[in-house]
Amino acid sequence: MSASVSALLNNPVFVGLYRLAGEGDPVVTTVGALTGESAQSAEAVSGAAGSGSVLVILDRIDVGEWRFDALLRRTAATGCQVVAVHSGATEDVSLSLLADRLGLVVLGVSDPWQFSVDLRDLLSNSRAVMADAVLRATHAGQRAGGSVENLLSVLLNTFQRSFILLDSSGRPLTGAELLSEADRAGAGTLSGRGAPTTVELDSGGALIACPVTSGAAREPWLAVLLPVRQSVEEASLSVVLDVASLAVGHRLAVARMVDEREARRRSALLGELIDTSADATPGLLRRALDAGWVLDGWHIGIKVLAVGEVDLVARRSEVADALAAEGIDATVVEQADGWAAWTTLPGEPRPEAITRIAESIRAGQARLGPTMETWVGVGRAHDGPAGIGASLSEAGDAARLAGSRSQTGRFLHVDRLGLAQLLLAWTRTDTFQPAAAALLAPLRDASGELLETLSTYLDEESSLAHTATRMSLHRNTVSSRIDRIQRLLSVDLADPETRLALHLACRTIAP
Amino acid sequence: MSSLHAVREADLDAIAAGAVVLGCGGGGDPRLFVEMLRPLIASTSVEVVAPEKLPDGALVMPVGIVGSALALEEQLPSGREFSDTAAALTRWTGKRPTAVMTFEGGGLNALSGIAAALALGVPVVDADLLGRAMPRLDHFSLAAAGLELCPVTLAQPGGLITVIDGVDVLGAEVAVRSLIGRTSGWGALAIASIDARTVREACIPGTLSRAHELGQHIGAPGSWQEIAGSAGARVLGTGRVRAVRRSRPGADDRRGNVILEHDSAVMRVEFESEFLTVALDGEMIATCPDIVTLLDVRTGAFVSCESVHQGQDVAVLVLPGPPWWADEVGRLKIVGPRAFGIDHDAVLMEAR
Repeated sequence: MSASVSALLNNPVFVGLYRLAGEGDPVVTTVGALTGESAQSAEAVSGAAGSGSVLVILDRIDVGEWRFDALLRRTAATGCQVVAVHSGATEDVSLSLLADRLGLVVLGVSDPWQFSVDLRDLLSNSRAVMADAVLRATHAGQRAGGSVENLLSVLLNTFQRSFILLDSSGRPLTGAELLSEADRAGAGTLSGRGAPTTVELDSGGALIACPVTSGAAREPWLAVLLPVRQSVEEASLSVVLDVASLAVGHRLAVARMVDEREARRRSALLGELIDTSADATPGLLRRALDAGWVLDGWHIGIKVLAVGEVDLVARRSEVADALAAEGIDATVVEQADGWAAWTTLPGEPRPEAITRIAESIRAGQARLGPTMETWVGVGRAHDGPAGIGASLSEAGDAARLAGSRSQTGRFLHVDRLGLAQLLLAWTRTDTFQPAAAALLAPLRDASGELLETLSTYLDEESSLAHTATRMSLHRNTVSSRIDRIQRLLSVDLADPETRLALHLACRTIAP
Repeated sequence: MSSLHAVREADLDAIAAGAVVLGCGGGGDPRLFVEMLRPLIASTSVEVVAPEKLPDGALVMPVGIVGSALALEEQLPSGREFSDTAAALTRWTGKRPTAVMTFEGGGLNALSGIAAALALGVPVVDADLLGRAMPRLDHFSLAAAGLELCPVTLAQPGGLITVIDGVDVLGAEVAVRSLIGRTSGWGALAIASIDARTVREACIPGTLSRAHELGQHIGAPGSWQEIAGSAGARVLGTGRVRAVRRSRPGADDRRGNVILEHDSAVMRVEFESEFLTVALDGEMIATCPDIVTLLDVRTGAFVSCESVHQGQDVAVLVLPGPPWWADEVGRLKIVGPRAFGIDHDAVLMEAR
């Protein structure tokens, strides 16, 4: 192994190493050590020093003495370019002049003996260095707290190097401020790589990265930032990364497990609340309160539909953060197709307030925009525990509708006009009319008043009795017509979505 | 080398100029003495005797100023110090000197022999105990030859007269140094008179003539190269002084050094009271007892250890030291680099 002087100076293993004199950056491969007294002999110096070696003077030596000048001369004569002395020495004009003249670098080090031993280990590529690094990484993993941030800071303290967590595309999730614009661009090249790797940075440093396995679909990276490239430290840090990435993965997996559990609990609770909102049991109300949900007051439901493959559990906080950033304090709950959220106001909001809130929600959606496509619907304000379900239901409908409304940014607010009007307004569009006609065509072609029967049946909330009364028919007649309609259209009128679509189609064709 | 037979007023400036070179950056400024001696010598002259011309019964008393040149400038001599110290020594030993000599032929002491000769009315011997400037009594050639200095007498401004006897060379050095360090800071020292044979065998001959001759050559105005060339000096390098380190007062190590860049090489001149050694890129290229001296290349003036400063453009010169020191290996221990804590063999011009 070899290392340049600048690499040694940058290596945190060598605490208190500094450049005393000389400006070069020679590469060293071996270490020789002598006492100041024995270094007075030319034979001893030529035995201990040579081309590519570092000569360490083990005891204190007065670098201002003429004898040190003579020692430097003897050392330079062997081809050796680096001399390390005890750090009691201070910078000095004549030392600098002579070091430059002889092409030497003089280093100061707090403990020359330890330095010579450590450097020998490092340069001989000793497995002891690796083993020590692995041990320290293992201890860091054990000692650090449960959060990834805590682990990263323990690693920083242990190795005096910044460890950074990046997402699968190389975007820094922690320590972004440590990377310059150019560095971040360099880190972006991690995207698509799948194995431990090194990214050379334009700044001359390097980012050594190792994928973190935590069960997530897209594996993040754990990386360590080296300000200056140096093979010796890179070798030991890459084994450190192997160990540390396991520790990071473990923490991420545990955090994920907790999140999933919480998500399930939240979804179940919301489901129950919506189902039983009218007469919620005291136990249910209690559990909602325990979850930190405010049930009293006026609620405005927000439905965020995620488009495409989205990790709903992992990204719930992004939704809450985006809303919070716009001043909306919302409870967010994972659902099958996205998130349900609501914000609660103490009293009935004035129309302007609702408009303002809707605008903020829309801005929150825009914040999510760069990383995920969403359709967002907002319900009206409803009162009490039941209001949550009511507003969310409106919001859900609005969100589905929002998907077709690119002109409003896939955002729809059910304002005071109500959803029905909105839907009707939508059904009068040129795109829906032919669709409605096509949908109901089988009924129009068939004999009997099937279209009118269906329309009346849906208006009468699917009640055979009320339909029969209104159309002055026998109940069985209506029943058989409905059966025919279902056969002709190949639909099941028990399905609410189907009912809605047919209802709208009927209204469009026969208003 | 043409030898000097007598010193007249006209010779004083040349001797002083040469003494600056032999002072190796130390030894004090002899020009101070010149102005004191000028009126005394104006109407007369001092006879100079070469060592080999000394009669067998001659008794030569080595004299000189010890202590700090700075203290001497602050408290000028009364003019009685040399006669007082010589009289005290004569009274203690019962032997009247027939001639005097300076113990240090470089720096201000180059003129001490002449001053004492004028005061006592005896000739001055063209010899000294160092052949240049050196800081301590134990550097004397008498010590190198295994001889003792005692008894010695010290006369200080203010009239204090001290006789030191019964101690070896080092003891005398310690006694003299502690006394002047606690009192006036300088004094006129007389050393037990030596006979003609000792002068010939254990003293450095011709130092006064050398100073005179050097002074005549370098006295003429000219570029620093001409000055260096006429002094017979080898130029080790020229360059700008990048750093001067001086020992802290009270530190064990009294050495300092001058760092200059010569053609991008690093030249390092070690000094104590005088310039001692020159190393180029860590290799020793000149050492005492050869005469290392620095010349300001802009003014052509020799630079003392005290006045050399960062940013000055200087030439580092070396002149052959007195050959006497290199005649025997043992003598180099007394005045070589190791005598100043520089663990290196002497590197001399003659040997190269």
